[in-house]
Amino acid sequence: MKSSLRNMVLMLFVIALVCSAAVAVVYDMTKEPIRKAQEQKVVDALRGVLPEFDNEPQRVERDGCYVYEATMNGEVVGYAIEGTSPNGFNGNVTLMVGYDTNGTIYNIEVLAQAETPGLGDNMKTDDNLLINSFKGKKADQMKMTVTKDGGDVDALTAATISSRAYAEAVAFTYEVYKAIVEEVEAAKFNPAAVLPESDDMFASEIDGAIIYTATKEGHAVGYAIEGSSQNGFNGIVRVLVGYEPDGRIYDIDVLEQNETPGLGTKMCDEDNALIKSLRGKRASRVRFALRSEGGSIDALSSATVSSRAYVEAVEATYEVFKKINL
Amino acid sequence: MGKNLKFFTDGLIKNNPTFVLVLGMCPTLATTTSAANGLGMGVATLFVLVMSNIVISLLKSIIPDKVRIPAYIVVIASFVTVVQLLMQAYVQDLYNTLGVFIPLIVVNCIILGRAEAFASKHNVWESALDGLGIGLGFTGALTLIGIVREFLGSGSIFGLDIWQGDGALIFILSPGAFFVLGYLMIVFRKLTTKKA
Repeated sequence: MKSSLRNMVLMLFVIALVCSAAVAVVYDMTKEPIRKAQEQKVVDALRGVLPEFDNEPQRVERDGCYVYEATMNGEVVGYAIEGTSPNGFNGNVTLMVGYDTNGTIYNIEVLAQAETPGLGDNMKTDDNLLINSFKGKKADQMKMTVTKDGGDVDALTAATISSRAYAEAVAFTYEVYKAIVEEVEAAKFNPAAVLPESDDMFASEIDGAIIYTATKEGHAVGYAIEGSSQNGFNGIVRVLVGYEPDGRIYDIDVLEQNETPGLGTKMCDEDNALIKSLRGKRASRVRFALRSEGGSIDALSSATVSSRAYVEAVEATYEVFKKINL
Repeated sequence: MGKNLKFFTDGLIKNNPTFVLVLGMCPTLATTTSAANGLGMGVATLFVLVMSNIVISLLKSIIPDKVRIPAYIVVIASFVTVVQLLMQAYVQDLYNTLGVFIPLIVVNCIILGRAEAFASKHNVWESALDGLGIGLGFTGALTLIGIVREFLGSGSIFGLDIWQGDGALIFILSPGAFFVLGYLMIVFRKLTTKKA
């Protein structure tokens, strides 16, 4: 066709129009499959990095990372957190790190990386030095830098930079995880839950211990006191005990514990043996020891050490409570 | 028919885009780290090449000569976008691996080269055969390079372990791409010139 201005403009216009229409049609056709494929990818990654869960975790942004909360029968079983380090050998390294509720790294999946094939890109395999350095470890008990930099992470052979980026990305997710746990803890710490109904509450301090006093129409109706014991089966046991003004124990909440799941963890249950032997009792009449050891408190079965620590923690709060009445 | 068949076989051997014309080196060197990647890249290019050859051959008489290149590019870019969307929807892993090289098919000189040198001068049927031949030649070459590099570099072919161990890493890295391409070119030349 003759290259007149009219022809050129017209033909280019027509070709561009037809082509963009065709692309638009394909875009519309593939929109749904692409969305599904991407969702499937996320779900697969979540299943890989978390303990079994039955909800549909939603992607929530937090401190620059994406967080998914997984629950099983309504209870939180873990968090998957996406973390990105910009310091890979070829740009970003994005990981999804799964934590269970005890702060153990459950598994890690590489979502995106452009590291050197055969070297840094080995990070995406299921079994490599990096993932094995993290998998199953308590996040707070390790230093998340490569061994060359004095940390606990074994680097991939000949891929130190990629390994550093990997460790850095995990460290980012751990910062977010810590923030989440702190928030959950803070939400759990609710003195009103262990106290009788009240319309006001204030905190005061006696000998370094903080006491939450609940009042109703100006009269104190209860005191919540925190106590802890270092002698749990796996370290600290922290409880919050609510007292009525006459010294009766109103209720007890466990704030922190790392006891054996299924045994010592029963101390958190609503009506366990420990709380049953304490709730409603006058603290002055309670002998703070397990029944088998001459006390008045029933131990949890197969969790004597945990039960002892629990009793110790409660007793510590009673020591503080006695000072209030003086 | 004999002449038509020649259009097809020319692309495979005499005008093999990789080993003889030495076109499209960027995707050739960059995406052949494994056999599957090479094959995927080859097939994506094959599709775009055949489709753009057909369409451009159909449009050759109504495209004004002076704006033919932009017209070709628009057609090619559309097909590349279609391929990109389809891969994203149905073979996302491959799409993620090939990454930026998929959109870069637009500027692959094989495709524009065939549009300019062949499709704009031949009829639809011949152009389709030429696209198919050249495309298969490209796919075959990429897959072959991918197989050799994957075999030597990681001891597997299409992800199946042939022997245990690490392999010579250099074949996975960029220098290996040049080595393998060079040696395969020698072998290809040797075989094809003997025939002639």
